[in-house]
Amino acid sequence: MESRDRLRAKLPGADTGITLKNSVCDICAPGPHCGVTCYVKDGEIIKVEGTDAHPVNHGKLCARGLAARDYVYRKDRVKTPLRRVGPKGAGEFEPVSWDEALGEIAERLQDLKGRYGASSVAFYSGYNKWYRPFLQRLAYSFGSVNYGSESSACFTSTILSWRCATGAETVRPDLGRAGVFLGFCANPGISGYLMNSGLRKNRQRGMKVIIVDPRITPASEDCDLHLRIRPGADGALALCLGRELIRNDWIDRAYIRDNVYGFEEYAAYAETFTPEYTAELTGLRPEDIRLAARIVGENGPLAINPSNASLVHFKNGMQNHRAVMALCALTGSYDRPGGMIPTPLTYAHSMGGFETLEPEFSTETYPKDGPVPVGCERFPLWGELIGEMQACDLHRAVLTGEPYPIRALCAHGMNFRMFPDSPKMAEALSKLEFFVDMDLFLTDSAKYADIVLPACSSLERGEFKVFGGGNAQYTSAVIPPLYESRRDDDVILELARRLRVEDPLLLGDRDDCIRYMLRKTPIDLAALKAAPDMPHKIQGLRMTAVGDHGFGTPTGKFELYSTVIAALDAPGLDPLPTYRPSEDDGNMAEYPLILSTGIRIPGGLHSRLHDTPAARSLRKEAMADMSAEDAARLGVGKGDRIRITTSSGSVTVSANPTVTIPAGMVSLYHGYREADANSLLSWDHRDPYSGFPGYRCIRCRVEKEA
Amino acid sequence: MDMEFDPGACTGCAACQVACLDQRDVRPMEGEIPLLRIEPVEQDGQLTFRRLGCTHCGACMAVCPTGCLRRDAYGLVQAEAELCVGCGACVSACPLGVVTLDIETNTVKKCDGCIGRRLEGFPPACCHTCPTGALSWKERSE
Repeated sequence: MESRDRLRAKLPGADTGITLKNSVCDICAPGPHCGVTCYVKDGEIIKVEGTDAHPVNHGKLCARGLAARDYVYRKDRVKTPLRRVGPKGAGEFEPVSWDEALGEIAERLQDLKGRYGASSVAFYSGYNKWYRPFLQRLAYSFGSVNYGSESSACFTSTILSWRCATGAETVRPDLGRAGVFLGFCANPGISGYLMNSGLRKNRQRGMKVIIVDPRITPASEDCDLHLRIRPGADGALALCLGRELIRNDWIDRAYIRDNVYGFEEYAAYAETFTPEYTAELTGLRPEDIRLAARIVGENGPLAINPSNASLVHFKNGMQNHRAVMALCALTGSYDRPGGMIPTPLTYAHSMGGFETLEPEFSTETYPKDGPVPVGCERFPLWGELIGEMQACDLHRAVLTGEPYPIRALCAHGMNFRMFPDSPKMAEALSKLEFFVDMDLFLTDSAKYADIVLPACSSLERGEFKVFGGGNAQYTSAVIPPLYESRRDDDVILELARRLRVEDPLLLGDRDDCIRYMLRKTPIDLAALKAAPDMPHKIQGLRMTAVGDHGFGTPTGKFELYSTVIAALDAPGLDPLPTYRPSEDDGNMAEYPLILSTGIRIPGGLHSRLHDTPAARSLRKEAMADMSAEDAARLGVGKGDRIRITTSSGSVTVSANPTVTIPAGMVSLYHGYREADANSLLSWDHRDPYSGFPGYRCIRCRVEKEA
Repeated sequence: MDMEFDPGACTGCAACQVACLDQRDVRPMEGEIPLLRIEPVEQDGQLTFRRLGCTHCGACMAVCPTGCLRRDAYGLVQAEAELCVGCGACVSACPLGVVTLDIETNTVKKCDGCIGRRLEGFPPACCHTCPTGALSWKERSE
């Protein structure tokens, strides 16, 4: 082929000047990060694709990762450190040097610490999560107890419920050996795409698949039973399934005897959830519920959806999740082949299958004489088992001074549109005495900052990463950091020096910090750095065998009755996985429909890709998906403008009538500047166990715009 | 056409669509038309997806006044942008709406079957990334 044609086809070679360099895509959450191969010409990325030999994604990549080039070269990248010169939120800045910016930050933070105490400064991490051990340690070494993150609304409720039940953090389904997969809210074709082929492949070998989802999805079209449940009623269904398993003796009595605590109390409570009563709560048919129980009962071992967010984004979300998890206890499927296998968070929210001393590194400088972190009093279970600031209470602390005022915020990737009642969070940002935000982009949140620092993407830095099965990698930069952007961890360490924290480790070298976290593993960081292209299988790692994980609970068992919750003796928190409706207090006559926000779309990753052209092109307009029946009743056609109103607010978007949404439900994706779903959510519509916002069950009404 | 599509396996994730934008530098937010689209099909209360991509049917070629669209040795309709005058007849003629004009050069841009990649053993960009196996391709000899 001629060079001209080879160049047009973007083929690597000396004649085209195109080289291939491997890295990691970090647009989504770290758990499923994929290896990417970048085609680079003249220092510019001209194409990305999945890395063929990568142990996670084997050359595949989702629509979001394939938009990585557009993401890196977005027009709104922050190019230099910026100092605000206009009103907060207006986006008027002047460029300043790194030295000036960091000097000013250190000076302001020291001043606020002197006047109000270190805990008046909150440290916050949005996406992504790779630098979090460093930021958390900096907060504590600075003397503030208030380190928190967007995980206050994303992943941690799942961790919380497993900690209550078994003491584990994260638990993965052993699909290859499972007999039945019970997929509450599972839609892996669109979210967590790598699990999709696992479901298909194992279904072909005979694994049964049940999908519990109000919507019709690719997953529900490819399963043995689809239960179109009413949003938020998942816990009731799970309790009824538990009841049916017990009544039909489809349970593992030996496992329960040896490994389960609180079975009798659980069984007595679950007994009240008859199929007929549960049918009323869930909108399902009693015979379908019985069929689901039979499929679970006759086809063990049982694997469930390792839901990160969807199942726990309800007011009763954590309890609903516990009720689903309880089925693993009843069937003896926890820490058993084909069931749910505990797997530790190894490093920076990734699961490598082994443990490191990251928790120790992150928390060992925690200030012992500080106040209780924001949100931990209001959400005592969160306080007990997580202990970080519940960041969804940050705006309350700033605006009301409860439990005490937060005066300053040192943030990486702040996004006020994530918070329940998002305009209140924007208001809180404008009320702070000092706000610094480090981000790739000059986001609407960054516009409130006094100082904005330019961050680089994963393709512009090298970083230590772990992958499942005991794999680790130390990537190298595909291109140098664009403009004057820097890596978050270097900025955190530089700030530690300028704040003169009494923490030799943080005043040292980045890699020494990582070595400190890895010191009980055989990982050789220098060897990894010398071969940065691919993850390496680490030899000699200590991995816990299935069946040997044990239970890190006070009783040493799988607690259906949580002794941790019982010991808290907190009003409104039940030790059993009780069921309560998840709707807000809105008047049913006035707000007859249920709004669910945050259901994933192929080109969306929170708000990160709304301004990334290739991803945004998949759904150019903010659209609300609603049932064809409701649309017809309101005389609404595709593209017509509709107003969605809740007791908290109102937005106008285009309508997308679809058979995939059941009557009575409306779905609006989140993070749109022009139609902010979380402005429709009261800041008190929260799960009392986790503090998570009830994003997915809000009473609303829909009207056609004239 | 040598691309094969299994609607039963497709989840509508649109990875192929974005892979194509990236491979061919197509900018839909600036007015270009994607060369490949995945669209939901809702029929009788069921959800499936269809792939709208070039079948190399030749409808564009038939209306091209300059001869810049030609069938190559592999049976694929290829655009020789240097000969294009930007009249847009091919864009209108395409029955699937998957031919566009480049916004910078005002010349035709269409699916080339990733022929350059394939001649060197790389899969077409859309097929390479498809995580479900819904998209596949067959090599055919000249």
